[in-house]
Amino acid sequence: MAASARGRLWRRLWRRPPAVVGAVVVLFFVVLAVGAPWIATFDPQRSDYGKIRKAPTAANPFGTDDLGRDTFSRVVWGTRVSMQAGVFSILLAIAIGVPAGLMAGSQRGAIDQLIMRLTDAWLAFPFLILAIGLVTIMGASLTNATVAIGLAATPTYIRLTRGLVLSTQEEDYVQAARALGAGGLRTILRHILPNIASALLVQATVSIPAAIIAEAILSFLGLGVQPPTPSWGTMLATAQQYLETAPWMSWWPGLAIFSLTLSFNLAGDGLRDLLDPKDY
Amino acid sequence: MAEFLVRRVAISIVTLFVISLIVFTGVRMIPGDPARVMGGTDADAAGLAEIRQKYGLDDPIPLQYLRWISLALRGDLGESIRTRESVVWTVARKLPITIELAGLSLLIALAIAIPAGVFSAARRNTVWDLLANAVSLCGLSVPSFWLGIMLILFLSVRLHWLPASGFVPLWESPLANLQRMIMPAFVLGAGLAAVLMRQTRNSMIEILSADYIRTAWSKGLAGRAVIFRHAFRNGLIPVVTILGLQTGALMGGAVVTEQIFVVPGFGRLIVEAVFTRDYPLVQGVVLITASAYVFINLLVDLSYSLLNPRIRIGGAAGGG
Repeated sequence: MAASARGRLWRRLWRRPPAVVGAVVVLFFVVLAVGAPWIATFDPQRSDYGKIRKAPTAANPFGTDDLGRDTFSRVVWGTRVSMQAGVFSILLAIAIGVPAGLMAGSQRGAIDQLIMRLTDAWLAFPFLILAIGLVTIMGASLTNATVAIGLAATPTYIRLTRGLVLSTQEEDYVQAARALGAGGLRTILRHILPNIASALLVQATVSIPAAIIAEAILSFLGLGVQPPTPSWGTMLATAQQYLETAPWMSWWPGLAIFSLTLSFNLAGDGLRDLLDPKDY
Repeated sequence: MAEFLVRRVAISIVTLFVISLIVFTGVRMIPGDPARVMGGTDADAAGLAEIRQKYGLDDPIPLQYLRWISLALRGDLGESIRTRESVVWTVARKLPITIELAGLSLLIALAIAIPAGVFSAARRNTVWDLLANAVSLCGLSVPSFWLGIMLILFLSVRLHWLPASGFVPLWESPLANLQRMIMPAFVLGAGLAAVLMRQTRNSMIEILSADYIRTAWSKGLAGRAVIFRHAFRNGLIPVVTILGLQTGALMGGAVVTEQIFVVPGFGRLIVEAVFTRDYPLVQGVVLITASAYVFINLLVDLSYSLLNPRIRIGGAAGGG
Protein backbone atom coordinates (compact mmCIF):
# COMPACT_ATOMS: atom_id res chain seq x y z
CA MET A 1 0.00 0.00 0.00
CA ALA A 2 2.74 2.38 1.00
CA ALA A 3 4.63 1.72 -2.20
CA SER A 4 1.61 2.33 -4.39
CA ALA A 5 0.80 5.50 -2.43
CA ARG A 6 4.34 6.68 -3.07
CA GLY A 7 3.98 5.79 -6.73
CA ARG A 8 0.82 7.84 -6.91
CA LEU A 9 2.59 10.77 -5.27
CA TRP A 10 5.35 10.63 -7.89
CA ARG A 11 2.86 10.41 -10.72
CA ARG A 12 1.01 13.42 -9.35
CA LEU A 13 4.29 15.29 -9.09
CA TRP A 14 5.40 14.49 -12.62
CA ARG A 15 2.14 15.80 -13.98
CA ARG A 16 3.27 19.23 -12.76
CA PRO A 17 6.62 19.97 -14.38
CA PRO A 18 6.61 23.65 -13.27
CA ALA A 19 6.32 22.58 -9.64
CA VAL A 20 9.19 20.11 -10.03
CA VAL A 21 11.36 22.73 -11.71
CA GLY A 22 10.49 25.19 -8.92
CA ALA A 23 11.41 22.71 -6.22
CA VAL A 24 14.70 21.87 -7.95
CA VAL A 25 15.66 25.55 -8.23
CA VAL A 26 14.78 26.17 -4.57
CA LEU A 27 17.01 23.20 -3.67
CA PHE A 28 19.75 24.64 -5.84
CA PHE A 29 19.59 27.89 -3.85
CA VAL A 30 19.67 25.94 -0.58
CA VAL A 31 22.87 24.27 -1.81
CA LEU A 32 24.30 27.70 -2.69
CA ALA A 33 23.42 29.04 0.76
CA VAL A 34 24.90 26.08 2.64
CA GLY A 35 27.90 25.64 0.36
CA ALA A 36 28.73 29.34 -0.07
CA PRO A 37 32.28 29.06 1.36
CA TRP A 38 33.14 26.31 -1.17
CA ILE A 39 31.19 27.58 -4.16
CA ALA A 40 32.25 31.24 -4.07
CA THR A 41 35.48 31.73 -5.99
CA PHE A 42 36.61 34.85 -4.12
CA ASP A 43 36.29 36.36 -0.65
CA PRO A 44 33.03 38.34 -1.06
CA GLN A 45 34.38 41.23 1.01
CA ARG A 46 37.88 41.50 -0.44
CA SER A 47 38.44 44.56 -2.60
CA ASP A 48 40.76 44.49 -5.59
CA TYR A 49 41.38 48.06 -6.65
CA GLY A 50 42.92 46.91 -9.93
CA LYS A 51 39.56 45.41 -10.97
CA ILE A 52 37.00 48.10 -10.26
CA ARG A 53 33.70 47.71 -12.18
CA LYS A 54 35.07 45.25 -14.74
CA ALA A 55 32.64 43.58 -17.15
CA PRO A 56 32.16 39.80 -16.81
CA THR A 57 35.24 37.68 -17.65
CA ALA A 58 36.15 34.03 -17.18
CA ALA A 59 37.64 34.73 -13.76
CA ASN A 60 34.76 36.99 -12.68
CA PRO A 61 31.77 35.54 -14.55
CA PHE A 62 29.36 38.15 -13.14
CA GLY A 63 31.87 41.03 -13.33
CA THR A 64 33.15 43.08 -10.41
CA ASP A 65 31.59 45.88 -8.36
CA ASP A 66 32.54 49.45 -7.44
CA LEU A 67 35.15 48.20 -4.94
CA GLY A 68 36.56 45.53 -7.25
CA ARG A 69 34.79 42.69 -5.44
CA ASP A 70 33.68 39.59 -7.34
CA THR A 71 29.91 39.88 -8.03
CA PHE A 72 29.49 36.11 -8.45
CA SER A 73 30.90 35.39 -4.99
CA ARG A 74 28.77 38.15 -3.50
CA VAL A 75 25.61 36.77 -5.11
CA VAL A 76 26.46 33.30 -3.75
CA TRP A 77 27.02 34.61 -0.21
CA GLY A 78 23.95 36.81 -0.55
CA THR A 79 21.89 33.63 -0.98
CA ARG A 80 22.76 32.73 2.58
CA VAL A 81 21.55 36.09 3.91
CA SER A 82 18.32 35.93 1.93
CA MET A 83 17.55 32.35 2.88
CA GLN A 84 18.31 33.05 6.52
CA ALA A 85 16.07 36.11 6.59
CA GLY A 86 13.28 34.38 4.66
CA VAL A 87 13.22 31.14 6.63
CA PHE A 88 13.91 32.47 10.13
CA SER A 89 11.42 35.31 9.90
CA ILE A 90 8.65 32.92 8.88
CA LEU A 91 9.68 30.44 11.58
CA LEU A 92 9.26 33.30 14.06
CA ALA A 93 5.87 34.17 12.59
CA ILE A 94 4.81 30.51 12.91
CA ALA A 95 6.21 30.21 16.44
CA ILE A 96 4.06 33.14 17.61
CA GLY A 97 1.15 32.95 15.20
CA VAL A 98 0.25 29.26 15.39
CA PRO A 99 -0.03 29.01 19.22
CA ALA A 100 -1.93 32.32 19.31
CA GLY A 101 -4.27 31.11 16.57
CA LEU A 102 -4.77 27.75 18.30
CA MET A 103 -5.61 29.58 21.51
CA ALA A 104 -8.01 32.00 19.83
CA GLY A 105 -9.74 29.23 17.89
CA SER A 106 -10.10 26.75 20.75
CA GLN A 107 -10.83 29.10 23.66
CA ARG A 108 -13.17 31.56 21.95
CA GLY A 109 -14.73 34.22 24.20
CA ALA A 110 -12.68 37.07 25.63
CA ILE A 111 -9.26 35.63 24.72
CA ASP A 112 -10.40 35.11 21.14
CA GLN A 113 -11.74 38.67 20.94
CA LEU A 114 -8.55 40.12 22.40
CA ILE A 115 -6.25 38.18 20.05
CA MET A 116 -8.36 38.86 16.98
CA ARG A 117 -8.77 42.61 17.58
CA LEU A 118 -4.99 42.87 18.04
CA THR A 119 -4.54 40.87 14.83
CA ASP A 120 -6.94 43.14 12.90
CA ALA A 121 -5.05 46.22 14.04
CA TRP A 122 -1.68 44.61 13.29
CA LEU A 123 -2.88 43.67 9.79
CA ALA A 124 -3.93 47.27 9.11
CA PHE A 125 -0.29 48.34 9.02
CA PRO A 126 0.99 47.76 5.51
CA PHE A 127 3.50 44.90 5.76
CA LEU A 128 6.49 46.93 4.62
CA ILE A 129 5.61 50.06 6.59
CA LEU A 130 5.20 47.97 9.75
CA ALA A 131 8.59 46.34 9.13
CA ILE A 132 10.15 49.79 8.58
CA GLY A 133 8.53 51.08 11.79
CA LEU A 134 9.85 48.12 13.77
CA VAL A 135 13.37 48.48 12.35
CA THR A 136 13.23 52.17 13.34
CA ILE A 137 12.58 51.16 16.93
CA MET A 138 15.08 48.29 17.02
CA GLY A 139 17.84 49.64 14.76
CA ALA A 140 19.01 48.49 11.34
CA SER A 141 20.66 45.05 11.14
CA LEU A 142 20.01 41.65 9.56
CA THR A 143 18.73 40.18 12.84
CA ASN A 144 16.39 43.08 13.49
CA ALA A 145 15.14 43.07 9.91
CA THR A 146 14.43 39.33 10.25
CA VAL A 147 12.55 39.87 13.53
CA ALA A 148 10.63 42.82 12.04
CA ILE A 149 9.59 40.81 8.97
CA GLY A 150 8.61 37.88 11.20
CA LEU A 151 6.47 40.07 13.44
CA ALA A 152 4.89 41.73 10.41
CA ALA A 153 3.99 38.28 9.01
CA THR A 154 2.62 36.93 12.31
CA PRO A 155 -1.05 38.04 12.04
CA THR A 156 -1.49 36.09 8.80
CA TYR A 157 -0.63 32.91 10.70
CA ILE A 158 -2.89 33.81 13.64
CA ARG A 159 -5.85 34.31 11.29
CA LEU A 160 -5.12 31.23 9.21
CA THR A 161 -4.62 28.95 12.23
CA ARG A 162 -7.75 30.23 13.97
CA GLY A 163 -9.84 29.70 10.85
CA LEU A 164 -8.46 26.19 10.40
CA VAL A 165 -9.10 25.33 14.05
CA LEU A 166 -12.69 26.54 13.80
CA SER A 167 -13.40 24.39 10.75
CA THR A 168 -11.47 21.35 12.03
CA GLN A 169 -13.25 21.40 15.39
CA GLU A 170 -16.50 20.57 13.66
CA GLU A 171 -15.04 17.43 12.07
CA ASP A 172 -16.30 14.09 13.30
CA TYR A 173 -12.93 12.75 14.38
CA VAL A 174 -12.36 15.75 16.65
CA GLN A 175 -15.84 15.42 18.10
CA ALA A 176 -15.15 11.70 18.61
CA ALA A 177 -11.88 12.42 20.42
CA ARG A 178 -13.73 14.88 22.65
CA ALA A 179 -16.49 12.37 23.33
CA LEU A 180 -13.88 9.78 24.29
CA GLY A 181 -12.72 12.19 26.97
CA ALA A 182 -9.63 13.72 25.35
CA GLY A 183 -8.80 17.03 27.05
CA GLY A 184 -8.56 20.38 25.30
CA LEU A 185 -4.78 20.44 24.96
CA ARG A 186 -4.59 16.79 23.91
CA THR A 187 -7.24 17.34 21.24
CA ILE A 188 -5.38 20.34 19.90
CA LEU A 189 -1.95 18.73 19.79
CA ARG A 190 -2.89 15.21 18.71
CA HIS A 191 -5.90 15.77 16.48
CA ILE A 192 -6.18 19.36 15.28
CA LEU A 193 -2.55 20.41 14.77
CA PRO A 194 -1.51 17.46 12.54
CA ASN A 195 -4.54 18.09 10.35
CA ILE A 196 -3.87 21.76 9.79
CA ALA A 197 -0.10 21.37 9.34
CA SER A 198 -0.30 20.98 5.56
CA ALA A 199 -2.26 24.22 5.14
CA LEU A 200 0.35 26.00 7.27
CA LEU A 201 3.12 24.51 5.13
CA VAL A 202 1.47 25.81 1.96
CA GLN A 203 1.16 29.25 3.54
CA ALA A 204 4.88 29.12 4.39
CA THR A 205 5.75 28.58 0.72
CA VAL A 206 3.89 31.83 0.01
CA SER A 207 5.33 33.78 2.97
CA ILE A 208 8.98 32.79 2.59
CA PRO A 209 9.42 34.38 -0.86
CA ALA A 210 7.51 37.45 0.38
CA ALA A 211 9.87 37.62 3.37
CA ILE A 212 12.91 37.25 1.07
CA ILE A 213 11.70 40.18 -1.02
CA ALA A 214 10.95 42.19 2.15
CA GLU A 215 14.50 41.62 3.43
CA ALA A 216 15.93 42.65 0.06
CA ILE A 217 13.79 45.81 0.14
CA LEU A 218 14.82 46.70 3.70
CA SER A 219 18.49 46.15 2.81
CA PHE A 220 18.00 48.12 -0.43
CA LEU A 221 16.68 51.02 1.64
CA GLY A 222 19.63 50.68 4.03
CA LEU A 223 17.46 49.35 6.86
CA GLY A 224 18.60 45.72 6.80
CA VAL A 225 21.98 44.13 6.18
CA GLN A 226 24.77 46.66 6.59
CA PRO A 227 27.82 46.81 4.28
CA PRO A 228 30.22 45.17 3.68
CA THR A 229 28.14 42.00 4.27
CA PRO A 230 26.92 40.92 0.83
CA SER A 231 23.14 40.89 0.40
CA TRP A 232 21.10 41.08 -2.79
CA GLY A 233 19.27 44.19 -1.60
CA THR A 234 22.37 46.23 -0.73
CA MET A 235 24.07 45.05 -3.94
CA LEU A 236 21.15 46.43 -5.95
CA ALA A 237 21.21 49.72 -4.03
CA THR A 238 24.88 50.17 -5.02
CA ALA A 239 24.27 48.92 -8.54
CA GLN A 240 21.65 51.59 -9.14
CA GLN A 241 24.37 54.25 -8.91
CA TYR A 242 26.39 52.63 -11.72
CA LEU A 243 23.70 51.74 -14.27
CA GLU A 244 25.52 53.59 -17.05
CA THR A 245 29.02 52.24 -16.45
CA ALA A 246 28.46 48.82 -14.88
CA PRO A 247 24.97 47.49 -15.72
CA TRP A 248 25.95 43.88 -14.88
CA MET A 249 26.06 44.84 -11.21
CA SER A 250 22.28 45.19 -11.30
CA TRP A 251 21.49 42.04 -13.32
CA TRP A 252 22.61 39.21 -11.12
CA PRO A 253 21.35 40.05 -7.62
CA GLY A 254 17.92 40.91 -9.07
CA LEU A 255 17.85 37.81 -11.24
CA ALA A 256 18.73 35.76 -8.14
CA ILE A 257 15.81 37.21 -6.12
CA PHE A 258 13.46 36.82 -9.08
CA SER A 259 14.34 33.19 -9.79
CA LEU A 260 14.26 32.23 -6.11
CA THR A 261 10.83 33.79 -5.45
CA LEU A 262 9.42 32.49 -8.74
CA SER A 263 10.60 28.97 -7.90
CA PHE A 264 9.11 29.18 -4.42
CA ASN A 265 5.79 30.23 -5.94
CA LEU A 266 5.89 27.41 -8.50
CA ALA A 267 6.81 24.83 -5.88
CA GLY A 268 4.17 26.23 -3.54
CA ASP A 269 1.44 25.99 -6.19
CA GLY A 270 2.42 22.38 -6.80
CA LEU A 271 2.47 21.60 -3.10
CA ARG A 272 -0.99 23.09 -2.68
CA ASP A 273 -2.37 20.91 -5.46
CA LEU A 274 -0.60 17.91 -4.00
CA LEU A 275 -1.92 18.39 -0.49
CA ASP A 276 -5.43 19.36 -1.51
CA PRO A 277 -7.51 16.26 -0.74
CA LYS A 278 -10.27 17.47 -3.07
CA ASP A 279 -8.04 16.47 -5.93
CA TYR A 280 -8.26 12.75 -5.19
CA MET B 1 -28.30 45.24 6.69
CA ALA B 2 -28.25 48.00 9.31
CA GLU B 3 -26.88 45.50 11.79
CA PHE B 4 -24.06 44.61 9.41
CA LEU B 5 -23.19 48.28 8.92
CA VAL B 6 -23.14 49.03 12.64
CA ARG B 7 -21.05 45.96 13.35
CA ARG B 8 -18.59 46.74 10.57
CA VAL B 9 -18.18 50.36 11.74
CA ALA B 10 -17.81 49.27 15.37
CA ILE B 11 -15.04 46.81 14.49
CA SER B 12 -13.25 49.54 12.52
CA ILE B 13 -13.38 51.88 15.52
CA VAL B 14 -11.97 49.18 17.81
CA THR B 15 -9.25 48.46 15.23
CA LEU B 16 -8.34 52.16 15.02
CA PHE B 17 -8.15 52.31 18.83
CA VAL B 18 -5.81 49.29 18.97
CA ILE B 19 -3.70 50.79 16.15
CA SER B 20 -3.29 54.00 18.16
CA LEU B 21 -2.25 51.92 21.20
CA ILE B 22 0.35 50.05 19.14
CA VAL B 23 1.80 53.24 17.66
CA PHE B 24 1.86 54.96 21.06
CA THR B 25 3.58 51.96 22.66
CA GLY B 26 6.01 51.66 19.76
CA VAL B 27 7.36 55.17 20.25
CA ARG B 28 7.68 54.57 24.01
CA MET B 29 9.85 51.53 23.23
CA ILE B 30 12.54 53.64 21.60
CA PRO B 31 15.34 53.70 24.15
CA GLY B 32 16.03 57.03 25.85
CA ASP B 33 14.14 59.98 27.29
CA PRO B 34 10.77 60.28 25.47
CA ALA B 35 11.08 64.09 25.42
CA ARG B 36 14.43 63.73 23.63
CA VAL B 37 12.92 61.16 21.26
CA MET B 38 10.15 63.61 20.34
CA GLY B 39 12.32 66.73 20.35
CA GLY B 40 15.49 65.46 18.70
CA THR B 41 19.09 65.55 19.87
CA ASP B 42 19.53 69.26 19.26
CA ALA B 43 16.48 70.38 21.23
CA ASP B 44 17.37 72.77 24.06
CA ALA B 45 16.19 72.55 27.66
CA ALA B 46 13.27 74.92 27.01
CA GLY B 47 12.16 72.87 24.00
CA LEU B 48 12.32 69.64 25.99
CA ALA B 49 10.36 71.22 28.85
CA GLU B 50 7.72 72.35 26.35
CA ILE B 51 7.35 68.83 24.92
CA ARG B 52 7.27 67.35 28.43
CA GLN B 53 4.48 69.72 29.35
CA LYS B 54 2.52 69.31 26.09
CA TYR B 55 2.44 65.51 26.29
CA GLY B 56 2.40 65.40 30.10
CA LEU B 57 5.41 63.11 30.13
CA ASP B 58 5.58 63.17 33.94
CA ASP B 59 2.01 61.86 34.22
CA PRO B 60 1.08 58.14 34.43
CA ILE B 61 1.18 56.31 31.08
CA PRO B 62 -2.62 55.96 30.55
CA LEU B 63 -3.01 59.71 31.06
CA GLN B 64 -0.17 60.32 28.60
CA TYR B 65 -1.98 58.18 26.05
CA LEU B 66 -5.22 60.13 26.52
CA ARG B 67 -3.40 63.41 26.07
CA TRP B 68 -1.63 62.15 22.95
CA ILE B 69 -4.74 60.66 21.34
CA SER B 70 -6.87 63.73 22.00
CA LEU B 71 -4.20 65.88 20.34
CA ALA B 72 -4.00 63.40 17.45
CA LEU B 73 -7.78 63.44 16.98
CA ARG B 74 -7.62 67.20 16.65
CA GLY B 75 -4.98 66.79 13.94
CA ASP B 76 -1.95 67.57 16.08
CA LEU B 77 0.63 64.84 15.58
CA GLY B 78 3.51 66.97 16.83
CA GLU B 79 6.20 68.52 14.70
CA SER B 80 9.00 67.13 12.60
CA ILE B 81 12.34 67.21 14.42
CA ARG B 82 14.20 68.12 11.27
CA THR B 83 12.05 70.86 9.77
CA ARG B 84 10.04 71.93 12.85
CA GLU B 85 6.96 71.85 10.63
CA SER B 86 3.81 70.16 11.82
CA VAL B 87 3.69 66.44 10.95
CA VAL B 88 0.17 66.70 9.53
CA TRP B 89 1.17 69.57 7.25
CA THR B 90 4.30 67.74 6.06
CA VAL B 91 2.27 64.65 5.24
CA ALA B 92 -0.51 66.67 3.61
CA ARG B 93 1.99 68.28 1.24
CA LYS B 94 3.55 64.96 0.20
CA LEU B 95 0.36 62.94 -0.01
CA PRO B 96 -1.03 64.28 -3.35
CA ILE B 97 2.12 63.10 -5.13
CA THR B 98 1.75 59.57 -3.78
CA ILE B 99 -1.99 59.59 -4.47
CA GLU B 100 -1.27 60.50 -8.08
CA LEU B 101 1.32 57.72 -8.29
CA ALA B 102 -1.02 55.18 -6.68
CA GLY B 103 -3.95 56.29 -8.85
CA LEU B 104 -1.92 55.93 -12.03
CA SER B 105 -0.61 52.53 -11.02
CA LEU B 106 -4.14 51.43 -10.17
CA LEU B 107 -5.29 52.49 -13.65
CA ILE B 108 -2.41 50.61 -15.25
CA ALA B 109 -3.07 47.53 -13.12
CA LEU B 110 -6.78 47.51 -13.95
CA ALA B 111 -6.14 48.15 -17.64
CA ILE B 112 -3.90 45.06 -17.75
CA ALA B 113 -5.59 42.77 -15.24
CA ILE B 114 -9.29 43.00 -16.09
CA PRO B 115 -9.06 42.31 -19.86
CA ALA B 116 -6.38 39.66 -19.30
CA GLY B 117 -8.38 37.98 -16.53
CA VAL B 118 -11.67 37.97 -18.45
CA PHE B 119 -9.98 36.80 -21.63
CA SER B 120 -8.10 34.06 -19.89
CA ALA B 121 -11.24 32.83 -18.11
CA ALA B 122 -13.22 32.85 -21.37
CA ARG B 123 -10.43 30.94 -23.15
CA ARG B 124 -9.71 28.66 -20.25
CA ASN B 125 -6.95 26.05 -20.70
CA THR B 126 -5.78 27.41 -24.04
CA VAL B 127 -2.28 28.61 -24.85
CA TRP B 128 -3.44 32.20 -24.20
CA ASP B 129 -4.68 31.29 -20.74
CA LEU B 130 -1.40 29.56 -19.98
CA LEU B 131 0.57 32.54 -21.22
CA ALA B 132 -1.50 35.02 -19.20
CA ASN B 133 -1.00 32.87 -16.11
CA ALA B 134 2.74 32.63 -16.66
CA VAL B 135 3.01 36.40 -17.04
CA SER B 136 0.94 36.93 -13.90
CA LEU B 137 3.11 34.50 -11.92
CA CYS B 138 6.20 36.42 -13.06
CA GLY B 139 4.49 39.66 -12.02
CA LEU B 140 3.86 38.19 -8.58
CA SER B 141 7.45 37.03 -8.18
CA VAL B 142 9.47 39.88 -9.61
CA PRO B 143 10.82 42.20 -6.91
CA SER B 144 9.38 45.61 -7.81
CA PHE B 145 12.58 47.49 -7.10
CA TRP B 146 14.54 45.31 -9.48
CA LEU B 147 11.87 45.74 -12.14
CA GLY B 148 12.25 49.49 -11.60
CA ILE B 149 16.03 49.37 -11.95
CA MET B 150 15.78 47.26 -15.11
CA LEU B 151 13.27 49.69 -16.65
CA ILE B 152 15.60 52.60 -15.89
CA LEU B 153 18.48 50.63 -17.40
CA PHE B 154 16.65 49.89 -20.65
CA LEU B 155 14.23 52.76 -21.16
CA SER B 156 16.35 55.59 -19.76
CA VAL B 157 20.03 54.64 -19.87
CA ARG B 158 19.99 52.61 -23.11
CA LEU B 159 17.12 53.99 -25.17
CA HIS B 160 16.80 57.50 -23.67
CA TRP B 161 13.03 57.26 -24.00
CA LEU B 162 12.06 58.41 -20.54
CA PRO B 163 13.81 60.42 -17.82
CA ALA B 164 15.22 58.10 -15.15
CA SER B 165 14.11 60.10 -12.16
CA GLY B 166 12.98 63.45 -10.88
CA PHE B 167 9.60 64.99 -10.43
CA VAL B 168 7.66 67.80 -12.10
CA PRO B 169 4.42 68.87 -10.42
CA LEU B 170 1.30 68.08 -12.43
CA TRP B 171 0.17 71.73 -12.55
CA GLU B 172 3.51 72.91 -13.93
CA SER B 173 3.62 70.57 -16.88
CA PRO B 174 1.22 67.63 -17.15
CA LEU B 175 3.28 66.05 -19.93
CA ALA B 176 6.61 66.24 -18.10
CA ASN B 177 4.85 64.97 -14.99
CA LEU B 178 3.44 61.97 -16.85
CA GLN B 179 6.81 61.21 -18.48
CA ARG B 180 8.36 60.92 -15.06
CA MET B 181 5.47 59.14 -13.37
CA ILE B 182 4.73 56.47 -15.96
CA MET B 183 7.66 54.17 -15.08
CA PRO B 184 7.17 54.29 -11.30
CA ALA B 185 3.42 53.83 -11.79
CA PHE B 186 4.02 50.77 -13.98
CA VAL B 187 6.45 49.30 -11.44
CA LEU B 188 4.01 49.88 -8.58
CA GLY B 189 1.10 48.55 -10.64
CA ALA B 190 2.79 45.38 -11.94
CA GLY B 191 2.42 43.33 -8.76
CA LEU B 192 -1.13 44.56 -8.28
CA ALA B 193 -1.98 43.68 -11.88
CA ALA B 194 -0.78 40.12 -11.27
CA VAL B 195 -2.91 39.70 -8.15
CA LEU B 196 -5.97 41.27 -9.78
CA MET B 197 -5.62 39.23 -12.93
CA ARG B 198 -5.59 35.98 -10.96
CA GLN B 199 -8.60 37.09 -8.96
CA THR B 200 -10.52 38.24 -12.05
CA ARG B 201 -9.80 34.96 -13.81
CA ASN B 202 -10.85 32.84 -10.84
CA SER B 203 -14.06 34.69 -10.14
CA MET B 204 -14.98 34.79 -13.84
CA ILE B 205 -14.46 31.04 -14.11
CA GLU B 206 -16.67 30.53 -11.07
CA ILE B 207 -19.36 32.84 -12.42
CA LEU B 208 -19.26 31.35 -15.93
CA SER B 209 -20.20 27.98 -14.49
CA ALA B 210 -23.15 29.40 -12.52
CA ASP B 211 -26.72 28.45 -13.39
CA TYR B 212 -27.87 31.85 -14.57
CA ILE B 213 -25.01 32.04 -17.01
CA ARG B 214 -25.90 28.64 -18.39
CA THR B 215 -29.44 29.98 -18.80
CA ALA B 216 -28.13 32.96 -20.69
CA TRP B 217 -26.14 30.71 -23.02
CA SER B 218 -29.09 28.44 -23.58
CA LYS B 219 -31.31 31.43 -24.40
CA GLY B 220 -28.98 31.77 -27.38
CA LEU B 221 -27.29 35.00 -26.29
CA ALA B 222 -24.03 35.75 -28.02
CA GLY B 223 -20.81 34.96 -26.17
CA ARG B 224 -19.78 38.55 -25.74
CA ALA B 225 -23.16 39.57 -24.31
CA VAL B 226 -23.07 36.76 -21.75
CA ILE B 227 -19.54 37.53 -20.68
CA PHE B 228 -19.93 41.29 -20.40
CA ARG B 229 -23.58 41.83 -19.47
CA HIS B 230 -24.04 38.92 -17.11
CA ALA B 231 -20.77 37.52 -15.85
CA PHE B 232 -18.48 40.53 -15.79
CA ARG B 233 -20.44 42.68 -13.34
CA ASN B 234 -20.76 39.98 -10.74
CA GLY B 235 -17.27 38.69 -11.35
CA LEU B 236 -15.89 42.08 -10.38
CA ILE B 237 -17.21 42.05 -6.82
CA PRO B 238 -14.43 39.95 -5.29
CA VAL B 239 -11.97 41.96 -7.38
CA VAL B 240 -13.13 45.16 -5.64
CA THR B 241 -12.61 43.51 -2.25
CA ILE B 242 -9.09 42.43 -3.20
CA LEU B 243 -8.46 45.95 -4.43
CA GLY B 244 -9.25 47.32 -0.95
CA LEU B 245 -6.99 44.79 0.72
CA GLN B 246 -4.21 45.58 -1.74
CA THR B 247 -4.12 49.30 -0.84
CA GLY B 248 -1.73 48.35 1.96
CA ALA B 249 0.65 46.71 -0.49
CA LEU B 250 0.30 49.79 -2.70
CA MET B 251 1.30 52.09 0.16
CA GLY B 252 4.24 49.85 1.08
CA GLY B 253 5.25 49.57 -2.57
CA ALA B 254 5.19 53.35 -2.91
CA VAL B 255 8.02 53.54 -0.36
CA VAL B 256 10.39 51.55 -2.57
CA THR B 257 9.20 52.91 -5.89
CA GLU B 258 9.54 56.53 -4.81
CA GLN B 259 13.02 55.74 -3.51
CA ILE B 260 14.16 54.28 -6.85
CA PHE B 261 12.65 56.98 -9.06
CA VAL B 262 13.31 59.84 -6.61
CA VAL B 263 9.64 60.82 -6.43
CA PRO B 264 9.27 63.24 -3.50
CA GLY B 265 6.10 61.66 -2.06
CA PHE B 266 4.88 60.07 1.10
CA GLY B 267 7.06 56.96 0.73
CA ARG B 268 10.28 58.89 0.37
CA LEU B 269 9.23 60.97 3.36
CA ILE B 270 9.07 57.93 5.63
CA VAL B 271 12.51 56.66 4.55
CA GLU B 272 14.05 60.09 5.13
CA ALA B 273 12.31 60.30 8.50
CA VAL B 274 13.72 56.91 9.54
CA PHE B 275 17.26 57.88 8.53
CA THR B 276 17.16 61.23 10.33
CA ARG B 277 15.57 59.61 13.40
CA ASP B 278 12.62 61.96 12.98
CA TYR B 279 10.45 59.87 15.31
CA PRO B 280 7.38 62.16 15.43
CA LEU B 281 7.26 62.07 11.64
CA VAL B 282 7.66 58.26 11.50
CA GLN B 283 4.96 57.91 14.14
CA GLY B 284 2.61 60.22 12.25
CA VAL B 285 3.17 58.54 8.89
CA VAL B 286 2.66 55.04 10.32
CA LEU B 287 -0.49 56.10 12.18
CA ILE B 288 -1.95 57.84 9.12
CA THR B 289 -1.18 54.90 6.79
CA ALA B 290 -2.78 52.31 9.06
CA SER B 291 -5.84 54.48 9.67
CA ALA B 292 -6.20 55.12 5.95
CA TYR B 293 -6.07 51.37 5.34
CA VAL B 294 -8.84 50.71 7.86
CA PHE B 295 -10.93 53.53 6.41
CA ILE B 296 -10.50 52.42 2.79
CA ASN B 297 -11.44 48.85 3.61
CA LEU B 298 -14.46 50.02 5.55
CA LEU B 299 -15.57 51.98 2.47
CA VAL B 300 -14.92 49.00 0.20
CA ASP B 301 -16.96 46.68 2.42
CA LEU B 302 -19.80 49.18 2.72
CA SER B 303 -19.96 49.92 -1.00
CA TYR B 304 -19.77 46.23 -1.78
CA SER B 305 -22.69 45.34 0.43
CA LEU B 306 -24.69 48.39 -0.65
CA LEU B 307 -24.20 47.73 -4.35
CA ASN B 308 -24.99 44.09 -4.27
CA PRO B 309 -26.71 42.76 -1.20
CA ARG B 310 -28.29 39.74 -2.81
CA ILE B 311 -26.15 37.82 -5.23
CA ARG B 312 -23.88 35.53 -3.30
CA ILE B 313 -21.22 34.14 -5.55
CA GLY B 314 -20.69 30.96 -3.59
CA GLY B 315 -24.42 30.20 -3.66
CA ALA B 316 -24.72 30.89 -7.36
CA ALA B 317 -21.75 28.72 -8.26
CA GLY B 318 -22.96 25.93 -6.03
CA GLY B 319 -26.20 25.89 -7.97
CA GLY B 320 -28.23 26.97 -4.94
